[in-house]
Amino acid sequence: MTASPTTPSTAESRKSLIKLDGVTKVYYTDELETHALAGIQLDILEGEYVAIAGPSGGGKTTLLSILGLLDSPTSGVYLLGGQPVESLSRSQRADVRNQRIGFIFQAFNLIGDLTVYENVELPLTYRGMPTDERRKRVNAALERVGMSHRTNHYPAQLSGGQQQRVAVARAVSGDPLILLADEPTGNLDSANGEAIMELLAELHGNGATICMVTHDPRFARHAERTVHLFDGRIVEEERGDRATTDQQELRESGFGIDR
Amino acid sequence: MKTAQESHGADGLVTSFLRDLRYAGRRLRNNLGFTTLGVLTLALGIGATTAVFSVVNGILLKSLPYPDSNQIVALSERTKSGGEMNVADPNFLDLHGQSHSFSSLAFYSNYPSTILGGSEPILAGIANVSTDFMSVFRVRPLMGRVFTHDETAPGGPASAVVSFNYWRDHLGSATDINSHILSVDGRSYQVVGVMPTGFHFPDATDVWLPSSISTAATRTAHNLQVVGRLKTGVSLESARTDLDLIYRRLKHDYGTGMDAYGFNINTLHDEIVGPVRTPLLLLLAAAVLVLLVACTNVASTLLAAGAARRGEIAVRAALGARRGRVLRQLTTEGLLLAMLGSAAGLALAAAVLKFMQLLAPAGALPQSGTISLDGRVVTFALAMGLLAAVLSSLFPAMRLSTESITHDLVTRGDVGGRGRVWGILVASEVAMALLLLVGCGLLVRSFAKVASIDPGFRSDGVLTADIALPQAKYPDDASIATFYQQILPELARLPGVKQAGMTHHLPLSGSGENGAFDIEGTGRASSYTYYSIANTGFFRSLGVPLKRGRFFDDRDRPGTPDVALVNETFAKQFFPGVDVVGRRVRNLANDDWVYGPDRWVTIVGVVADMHEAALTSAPKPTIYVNPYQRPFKARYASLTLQSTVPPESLVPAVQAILRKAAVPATFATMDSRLSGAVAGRRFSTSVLTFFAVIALLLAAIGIYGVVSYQVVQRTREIGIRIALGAQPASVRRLIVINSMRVVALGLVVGILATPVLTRALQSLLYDISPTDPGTFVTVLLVFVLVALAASLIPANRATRIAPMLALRSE
Repeated sequence: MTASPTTPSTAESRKSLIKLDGVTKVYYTDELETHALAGIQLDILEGEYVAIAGPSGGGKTTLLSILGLLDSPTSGVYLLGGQPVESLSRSQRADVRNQRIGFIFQAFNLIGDLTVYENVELPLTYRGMPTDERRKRVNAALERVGMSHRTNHYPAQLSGGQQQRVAVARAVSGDPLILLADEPTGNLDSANGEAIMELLAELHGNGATICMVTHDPRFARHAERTVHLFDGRIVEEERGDRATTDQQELRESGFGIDR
Repeated sequence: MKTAQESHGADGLVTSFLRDLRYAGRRLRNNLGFTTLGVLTLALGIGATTAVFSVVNGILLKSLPYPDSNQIVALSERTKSGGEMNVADPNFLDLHGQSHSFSSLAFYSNYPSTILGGSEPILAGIANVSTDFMSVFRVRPLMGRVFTHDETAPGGPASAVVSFNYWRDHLGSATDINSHILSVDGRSYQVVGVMPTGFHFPDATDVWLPSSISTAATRTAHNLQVVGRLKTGVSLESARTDLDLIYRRLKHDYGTGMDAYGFNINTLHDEIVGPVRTPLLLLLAAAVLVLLVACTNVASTLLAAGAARRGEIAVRAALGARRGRVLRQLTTEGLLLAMLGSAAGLALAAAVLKFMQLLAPAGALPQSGTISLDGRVVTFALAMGLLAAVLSSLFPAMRLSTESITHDLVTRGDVGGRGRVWGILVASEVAMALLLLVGCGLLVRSFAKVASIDPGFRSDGVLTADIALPQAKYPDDASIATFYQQILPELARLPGVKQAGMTHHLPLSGSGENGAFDIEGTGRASSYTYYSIANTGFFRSLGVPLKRGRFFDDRDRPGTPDVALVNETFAKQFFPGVDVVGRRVRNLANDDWVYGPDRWVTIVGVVADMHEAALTSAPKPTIYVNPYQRPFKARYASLTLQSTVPPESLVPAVQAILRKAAVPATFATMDSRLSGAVAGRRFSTSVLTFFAVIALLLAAIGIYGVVSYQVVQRTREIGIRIALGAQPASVRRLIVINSMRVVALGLVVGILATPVLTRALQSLLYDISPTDPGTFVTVLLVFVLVALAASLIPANRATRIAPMLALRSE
């Protein structure tokens, strides 16, 4: 992620950062075969802010997990920065997560026994970054999210909003190619939720590529583009105020978009 | 793509490790209950293992305190049954002259005797040694010199070398040692040397005297204990071959004149520690089992604790931590826990060691003076800690680090399968604890059998005093007989004394002698008889009943026909079906050289058998001669006093009487001697029982912990069952059956493994089969009861789950 503030470039001038081609994900249980994702085609461009929306069970989290290399597709091609990721070993996938992806979770997922500073520092220690540089980056990231005054606090001593700010600082401290946010406002009240969305918008304004899963259309609107998932398939893509797919299908399914 | 992680050199690794350590410390501090339990559990395992190892280290692993001590060997002659006996004088001369394997070869014989000439007469350990004795050990005297060839030649100058303790305590640390003359067995010896502190071989010798070979001795009189030092480069095996050749030559030359069946050679260290090697190794194995049980317990606890950390681990993985990195973090915590366990274990080991030393009275363990928590033991404890860290944390860490990341980040649910792992861990604990309990059960039953053996004499209320009459004051048979004639009635008159007696060989004292003899009318007896000297007071004070005939009485005086008593075994063995009373024997090999071969001894009575050699060995045929008629060997004897007061309270009065007669003594109650006879067994049994109880306790905690965790995991399910009308009993049954299934698996595995244990135990058991069904059934019952109790507590808790609360807990 570029730290300096830049104006998001137009879609035409941006390169593809993530490309999914025919990605499927099937879960097998004893008697059941569940298709969580079915032939997903998705491009996310550098500097783009994409929201993935849809009803519960639609495949949003599965998609985010595959994008974040937390899970592997059953079939299809996933190119990250132009490189296929299927053949990566477990260690290589860990490195990619560490260096190219920043995660923000609904439940914050801060480690309770680590201080705010140590939580933000954690991915940088995995990277083997020298102490001085680590300190610089952690302080910058905490400054950016307005949490530099709480470096020695433990997560339990922070409010939900503050915890999520720390989680954002942790996600951006390593300067990743993309931020993956899974319902980042899900555990927050509306005021804190808005604040986090503003923070993400600010990061995007500074050039960050963001992919956010949300079921709340109010927050989806912060994105440049919204991808609607239903039954593991992309049923609609919205760019600005322009819907590109079949609204009728959504209405028939009972899932409407609150405009 | 870049794949290296934290590849920033050694400094970085150290920093990273320190960070992991700091974090681990914080986690342990924040989970004090878990940490305390884990540290205590590991401390029990490490403490037990370390304590036994310190004993093994001191006794089995440490070399004897002599230069190149692995070259020092002990030689003996082989009996027909493969046993060992002392070397005959002429055989020693031949070994000395013909063997090419030794740089030094020496003999010694040791016995307690009264030493006069120091600050006071004392009963001390004397060793008669040959010239090369000191050079076998390569120990230089602290002061003066050791013996010269002249001194060890027949009729040579009488000189003595004394121990450091004797020099300090009885010669006043004199620098003019040559001015001191000691009187031992009626002969005066000039002190020529003082050995350095710590040198007491053999046993607790205080005075070494020069000795020469008896040229008159035969090859069937086994008097000498022999030690040697192998030449550099000569192995034990090649020395054995050398001895075999010599034996064949001697056997060819002397035929039946030589009753040995070969020569034995062994390292002196093995000779000294051999008898305790098996019990000690067995105890070490038992302690290692305790450690394994402790590790398994901690592993299952860590796994349970890990369940609560899956979210954290998933976050770490999502942030890019490789599996190895997560593994390192988790094992660092295990390592820290184990190191704390090691430290606590070392402290515990010191306490356990004290407990073990209390259980093992002096003399029960050879080389026990070298037992300590030294550097090797501390290293061992740390190594055990490392092993514990690996065993207890690596598996849970591997397990946790492989589980699904997404699942934990998103659903926070249980991926399943852990119950099976816990089952395996608990079953392993149960199996190992069962092994220990079975071993303990067998030893306890065996010990009970030994303890219930009737020794053939009463020990309660009996005081014993070992004495050696100084030759200077008691130069001949008459004076020895007079001593007993005067002293025994005087002792018997002491207030509180009912009977006073004497014997040459006190039962269970470890001393004893046997030899051939002739039976009137039939000639040489078919086998040897044991030989002792005892008066009637001895049998009466120990409550040994007369079975036939009479005891010695006033008729049996010096000058009247010699009389003897025999025990029942003697009568049955040598006079089957006929009355032994009135029969005559002579030529008793043990004293015919004093009293002549033709002096007949009439058997006047039969006394009951006693277990004189050992409780566990059958009574031996024994003849007891009358001390007033054949008192020669009675110079060395034990007095026995049957009292109506606590026997220890008699010591000052007895000591005063003996002091007047210039006879020093060492006292012990017969009870303590009897107790000492089973000390070794009691030691092994007590320590193993201690370990088995710990293992059972740990297994119970393990079962309790896992069942408790399963109850928590199944709260919702149990809530639903209760909501649907399940009775508390059925909920309890559900939980208990589930847990007992795992326990049953462990018990089966444990039982299948018992042959390994019982084979090792066989040599330690007495009158009990290693597969004794009673022991197995009892142990299984105990285990099932303990496991039931451990499962019932959480199971009862499950029955009290409030359904609505449980259903909301999802």
